[in-house]
Amino acid sequence: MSRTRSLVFLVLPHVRQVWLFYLVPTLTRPMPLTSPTYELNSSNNFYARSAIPQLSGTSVTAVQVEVRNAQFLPLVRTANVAVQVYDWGGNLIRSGSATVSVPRLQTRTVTVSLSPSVPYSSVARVVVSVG
Amino acid sequence: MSGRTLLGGVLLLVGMALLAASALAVLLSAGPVAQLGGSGMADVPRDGVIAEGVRLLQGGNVNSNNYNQINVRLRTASAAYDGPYTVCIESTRGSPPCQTITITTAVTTVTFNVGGGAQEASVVVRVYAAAR
Repeated sequence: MSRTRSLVFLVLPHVRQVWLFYLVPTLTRPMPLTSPTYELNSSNNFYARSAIPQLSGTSVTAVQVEVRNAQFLPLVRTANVAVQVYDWGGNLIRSGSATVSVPRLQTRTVTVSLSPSVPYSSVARVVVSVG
Repeated sequence: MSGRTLLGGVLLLVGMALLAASALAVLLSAGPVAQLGGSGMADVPRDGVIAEGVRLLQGGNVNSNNYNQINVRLRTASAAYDGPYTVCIESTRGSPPCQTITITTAVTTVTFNVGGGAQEASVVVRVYAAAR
């Protein structure tokens, strides 16, 4: 946060006057930092419960997704998990997919790799779809 | 007393009043203002604070069809950016009150309470972190 606060004296000796100019302080609020938008899409009674990018330094190498199987039968179902990463211009820059077996009424974690890795600062939107 | 002298006196009084108000403003604002490395938080780059994902929870439990909490994992990319931030989210279920927390290089989880109910087919969460 920065401030602007200035005081200026202007002396005019020939007319024996002192003029004082004061600039009202102004606060410069820092711009808020915006993270990527996380979008969790669910279907076929599978719910995406999380999207957690895995970082190496400041590069995103994968996205960890928790998948909930909300169906009672069959005992185990296989979920297809897709991850799409968009940049700040709205362009699709990375994508990946994986499958995971999820027992009924349970949640399992699957990691979707993104290769090559993408700088975190380029990631504007992470879309996770499970089904 | 001439009009010119009177005007000068009035201006001097106004100036002194402004100075006093300024000093008071500095005293009032000195507490919560954080300066990092002398450069100020306004210099924190986009990847200075990393939102390491979101989770949907029901009463602290991820294993549910419903959710009433959104967890956001935050950390700084470097200790140079450690400090207090105001963290807010916009989500499919609205924008719960922002929270002011200290974010460091260690992952901090911030929990936002939202209206409960079954998970929507599509949930969108956007996170904002503004330096204090």
